[in-house]
Amino acid sequence: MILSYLLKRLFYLLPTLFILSLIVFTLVRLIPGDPVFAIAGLDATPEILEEIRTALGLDRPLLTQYIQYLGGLLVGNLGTSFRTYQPVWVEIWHRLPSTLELATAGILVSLLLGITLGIIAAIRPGSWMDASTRFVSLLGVSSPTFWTGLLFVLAFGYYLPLFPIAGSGDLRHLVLPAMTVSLTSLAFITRLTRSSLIEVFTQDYIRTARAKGVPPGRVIVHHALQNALVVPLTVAGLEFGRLISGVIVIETIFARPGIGKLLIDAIQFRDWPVIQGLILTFALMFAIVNLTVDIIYSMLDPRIRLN
Amino acid sequence: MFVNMTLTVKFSLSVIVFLCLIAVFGPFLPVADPYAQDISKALQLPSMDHWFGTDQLGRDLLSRTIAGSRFSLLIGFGAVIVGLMIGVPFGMMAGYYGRWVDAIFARVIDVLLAFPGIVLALAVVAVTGPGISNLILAVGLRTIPVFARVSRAETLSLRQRDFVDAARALGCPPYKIIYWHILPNIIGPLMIIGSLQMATAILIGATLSFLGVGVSPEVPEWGGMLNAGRPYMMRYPHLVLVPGFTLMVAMMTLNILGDYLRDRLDPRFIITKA
Repeated sequence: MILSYLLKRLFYLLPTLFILSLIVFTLVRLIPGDPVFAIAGLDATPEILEEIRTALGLDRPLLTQYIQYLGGLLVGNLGTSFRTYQPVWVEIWHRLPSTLELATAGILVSLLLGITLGIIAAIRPGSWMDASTRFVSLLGVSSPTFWTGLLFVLAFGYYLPLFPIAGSGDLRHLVLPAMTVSLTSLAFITRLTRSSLIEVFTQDYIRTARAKGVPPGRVIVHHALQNALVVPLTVAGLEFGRLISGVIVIETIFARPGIGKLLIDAIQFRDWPVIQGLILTFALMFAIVNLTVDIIYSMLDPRIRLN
Repeated sequence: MFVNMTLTVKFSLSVIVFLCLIAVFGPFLPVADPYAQDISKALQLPSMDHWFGTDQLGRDLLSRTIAGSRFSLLIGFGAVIVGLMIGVPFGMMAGYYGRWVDAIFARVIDVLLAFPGIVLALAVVAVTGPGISNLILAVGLRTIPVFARVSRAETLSLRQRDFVDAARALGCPPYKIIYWHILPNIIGPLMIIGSLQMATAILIGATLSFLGVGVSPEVPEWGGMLNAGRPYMMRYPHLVLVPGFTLMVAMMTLNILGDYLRDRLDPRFIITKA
């Protein structure tokens, strides 16, 4: 049953990916300005320009270029970077771990902290604990990531130098970027956990448990949390997809060598193949995450499957 | 409606109105020219002459922040208008006519939503180049699916209602039904989405400018100002604190307003941001 759902979703994924590749291909070809100038320099002779053009296959008709591109995609060949002459997939592959590291750390932090704060806010609604967590989560949702990142750099890099603010490597390098990237999701998850938990508390079985004399801690953790966490967990899955795009800014601020920074550099250099490859990569990662979340959700809630 | 607002909401509303006012009347205010450079006065901390200090080229930060409100709000409004103009009719048509229109709708929306976060906006500015109108287009593209989805969902549920049947029975053509009957009823959710999307739009616009692919550096835009101030921020933090803080305030007030509208106008809608 789950298998058929999974297959159906995968099947619907294919035309979307196909249209995506078409769009990405056209998009990049629309850029004004000939990329050969970027490679050869503005004062190159026409012969050199022609050479480069032929070597990169830019002189063929558009349809041929697209078919070549599509064929390459199926094999896994994303082209060669205009800037470094490395295969695009190699460039992406080298930088993917740093980005994934950051995104995973971010989602873990936002889940752990978010659920905890949500619980704290829910057990005493209306108190100052509740109000302050709500305020903090509002701040989290409305603060631009790059600003909080810079604030962290100022606070912990300069005034109180506790953590490194550039590069990647060990766990210490992850702390500040992860905290920054998790802020928005954290706020969101806190809000959701809080409202979901408050709703669960009104249910009868909670009253029964309390009446039986179950200690309050166990009531929350063992009885209430299981049901209350469904919504926040699914959201966390979706947020993971959004985090993947959030790392673009973080990597620029904290100078981490990930695919986000690669994208910005590629755009500024007009490195078409890398831009194309990265957009596809981002979209693919996003799609996979969404698909996984849907599968998990359908496993938890049979009604979705039977729809 | 005004009397029901809590103090927080009233305060937020007044802040937004204030921001709009200074955005509109900015050029007429008795502050310095936001573009006037004076290197001899560069990198000054806040003082009586320059309430917010000066930036690295000697430009008055206060006037630049005020001018920045124009651009940020322009991007916000522009993107929301793009979403409304394109997304809402599209969604309503998909919801009303159904079948193949709806199928096309689903595909197009899927494609627009396939790109996470700012990747779509980045892709657009990679093609079109920097500039305010391109920025509005890029951010607007992101808001279209949100408006379209909500319009479609609303239209689907409204289509079943009796007054629509009655109108059809009277021979009212579909476009009139959509315009006169369905559209007025979806204004509420659209306002909620509009205010929340505006906050997102301002954020994405500022992010793109921060990354260097939005507006050009002389243009005073809060995100761009943050990027420009970055190299100096260790010793002159005001360059970064001022625009960042205003940005945060703008977004926070818009979020508060959006939440208030959601509570007031229709709490049963699970209108989460797409």
